[in-house]
Amino acid sequence: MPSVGHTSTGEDLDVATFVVRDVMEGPETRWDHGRLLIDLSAVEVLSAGSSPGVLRVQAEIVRPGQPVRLVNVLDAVDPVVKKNAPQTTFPGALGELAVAGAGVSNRLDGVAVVSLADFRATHDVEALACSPDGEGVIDMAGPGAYLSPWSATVNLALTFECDPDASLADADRSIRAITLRAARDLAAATVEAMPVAVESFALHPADDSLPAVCVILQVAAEGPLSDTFFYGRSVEGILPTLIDPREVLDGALTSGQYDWAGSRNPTAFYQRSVLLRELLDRHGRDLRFAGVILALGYLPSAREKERSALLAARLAKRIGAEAAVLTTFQTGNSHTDTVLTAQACARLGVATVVLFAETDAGLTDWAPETDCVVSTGNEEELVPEWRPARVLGGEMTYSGRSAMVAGRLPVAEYLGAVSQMGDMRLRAVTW
Amino acid sequence: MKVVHYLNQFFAGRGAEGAAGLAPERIAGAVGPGRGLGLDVAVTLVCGDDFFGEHETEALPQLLAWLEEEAADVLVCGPSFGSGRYGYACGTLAREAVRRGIPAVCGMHPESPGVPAAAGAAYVVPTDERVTGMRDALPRMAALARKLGARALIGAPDAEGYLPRGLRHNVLDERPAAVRAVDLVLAKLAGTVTSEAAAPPERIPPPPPIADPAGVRLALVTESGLVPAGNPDRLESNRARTWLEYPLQGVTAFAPGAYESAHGGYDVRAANADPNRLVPLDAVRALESEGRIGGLHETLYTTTGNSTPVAVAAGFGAEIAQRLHDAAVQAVILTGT
Amino acid sequence: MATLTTAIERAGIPAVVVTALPTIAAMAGANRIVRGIAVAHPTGDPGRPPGEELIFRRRLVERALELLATPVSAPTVWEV
Repeated sequence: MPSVGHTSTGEDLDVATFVVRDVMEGPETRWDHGRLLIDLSAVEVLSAGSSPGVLRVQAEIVRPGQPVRLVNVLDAVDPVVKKNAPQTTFPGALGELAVAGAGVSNRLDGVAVVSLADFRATHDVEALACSPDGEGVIDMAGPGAYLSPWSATVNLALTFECDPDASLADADRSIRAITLRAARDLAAATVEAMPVAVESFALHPADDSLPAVCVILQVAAEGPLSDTFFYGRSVEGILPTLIDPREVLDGALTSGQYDWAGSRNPTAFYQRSVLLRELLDRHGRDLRFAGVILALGYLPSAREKERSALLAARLAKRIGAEAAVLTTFQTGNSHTDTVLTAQACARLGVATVVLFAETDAGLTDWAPETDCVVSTGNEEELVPEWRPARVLGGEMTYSGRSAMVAGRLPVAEYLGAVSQMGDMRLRAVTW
Repeated sequence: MKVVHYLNQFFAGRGAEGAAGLAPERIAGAVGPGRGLGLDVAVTLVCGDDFFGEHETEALPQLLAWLEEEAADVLVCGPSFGSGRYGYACGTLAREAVRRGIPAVCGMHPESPGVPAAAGAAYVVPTDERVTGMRDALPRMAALARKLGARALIGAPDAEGYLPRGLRHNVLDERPAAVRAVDLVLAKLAGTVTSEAAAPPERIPPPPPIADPAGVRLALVTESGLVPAGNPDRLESNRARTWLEYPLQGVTAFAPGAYESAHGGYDVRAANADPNRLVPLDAVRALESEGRIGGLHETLYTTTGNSTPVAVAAGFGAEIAQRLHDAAVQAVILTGT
Repeated sequence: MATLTTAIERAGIPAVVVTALPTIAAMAGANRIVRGIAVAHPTGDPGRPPGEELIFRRRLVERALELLATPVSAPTVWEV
């Protein structure tokens, strides 16, 4: 269990949590014993001049229970700052390069930064190599609220207006930088304050007799607006790579992926990963956490898929894993990458469990080796209709309906709903 | 709440197999078992099982048109128990009603072909195979019909008493998926494998075609219940517990009076008048003598495909398949009713 | 009947089902199906004169043989 007041050696990751009781707009961004004051105009001014591709950003505080629907949601980021070296927060993606996953990180609990942008209003999105499909919704109230964790946080909603004369890639780069900076600056208000709790994430040597479990964390890179970033660089072309779980929790991975809201990984899921925290917590108790292997999904050919599966399994074996938890990124042929990886692991004697979201027809892919599946829910199930009083982020849904009167939306459109990293509690059963 | 009830010719009191060709009818009020539902049945729709099966493109639109005219709040079909044709009609009508916005509930045995026909759209209340299950089935169907007609939220299959519709429905687990994953993989290492999602159902891919009928060794299999006159080996008229084989050497056609149908599920008069109407032996022999078929395997395999449980039928199939394989049979014509 | 057919096909022997209820057969897994005349007489037609009926039955068997000689990848229903 987390040890409060633990003296860090500097090698472990110490996450100091600041629980936010109240959020208000204020003349400056400030932390006052549980109350967070946000200078919204300072956030808005960030874009002026220095952010190619973005004409303007509008900052607004959105609260749980409000009859507000957020559409065209791009990312959700947990506010965090490296207490002793704030300039290295989100190394590579925002901050200076430094190894993530060590030292003290201050994080805010109960607040998130959410970015929104209607790319279609200013650009021909279909011209992209991989154009984002599907809506990204957060309902702050109503029957669909529970499907996204960000209906329960006070959100600093940043709505971006893109410059039609700039490239989408430039606009997206600026959007991500501004969003990450806003997340850092909110948390930076706490550097002088006392946290409620400090969790220490350590990986001390553990009893050899405990089963060794690793994670094969699937990410994807299919070009601008469909990218994942590792220390600020697209993961395109990476071979399966061993990383420390604490790097993931501490900002080494950020999202630039705007496809399939329900099943992609917003940045906050890397930061708060229930899976990695669970394994870190149980390390030394009923298992040994052998490590995290970053691997690509959506590889473009059967051969590349098989090669990557083989290399991921080989790495898992090499780090001594007896079992691996395979996460999946989005839907479709990435599920085949997961299945192939499970098969490659089985051939090397590594037992696997895979996390899959489902459709009405059940699993997208399956093999006898994927005999242990965790269902993260049926993303095609429709949610009862809800008519918000306000919509933020655009007027139309992706499918061309009015966002205020959109009818029944599928679970797939709610940000994070069927997370195949396992952060949510949704599950499909046969009725 | 406007309730419409669908029955076949038999339960509507119009006769048994002889009336199976009855065209669709609309009758005011409840008929037969409809009176036992405990619902205010406004209209009863009737159709002969054979008419529905053989003229579905005529029967179904007529029944649906009446259903929509009546502005039904809910459709109740059956119960059809173990019947194949009646079950199919119920499941099909119910499915199409649901697709037109009218909730529907059927009652039938879980192995009835009406269950897949309902396609997960209509609700199916499981019943006994036999009509003796009527008294038990009616109130259970009525309970679900009441809820459906009132547009109430229907809960889990177990709780509400219907067969799982094969829909993957979202529920909230106590634990996040990640925690379940860690628990499951540790259990797997310890020897217990559990999965929250099943493999897609297995479909046998069709075997490749024969090269040329003129060279092929063909066998005849039937589940029409065709047997020698007198049914000497007592093939059951339904729920057959066995399959039988009879020699075909020297038999060029099934002569009336020498062969008959033991099947209890259809009107056997036409078949008994000419048993080749169940298994086309005379035609096969003619083609064989002309060299259009390589040769006929000289054994007929017969059973009664009437309410045979799937598991039992699968056993029969495996045994017959073994015989065919051993006899180097290359193709099969299988006739069914 | 589709259950019998599936077992036969699992042994690698192509089978064509003649039935007046092709939809049921297809749903249950049969791959090659020829529509029969009626439930009570799938390979016969009492409405025709006897000589004609045999000619018709020959045509039905020929269709079945043709279908056996045809590659299929999904349930396929032929009329006579």
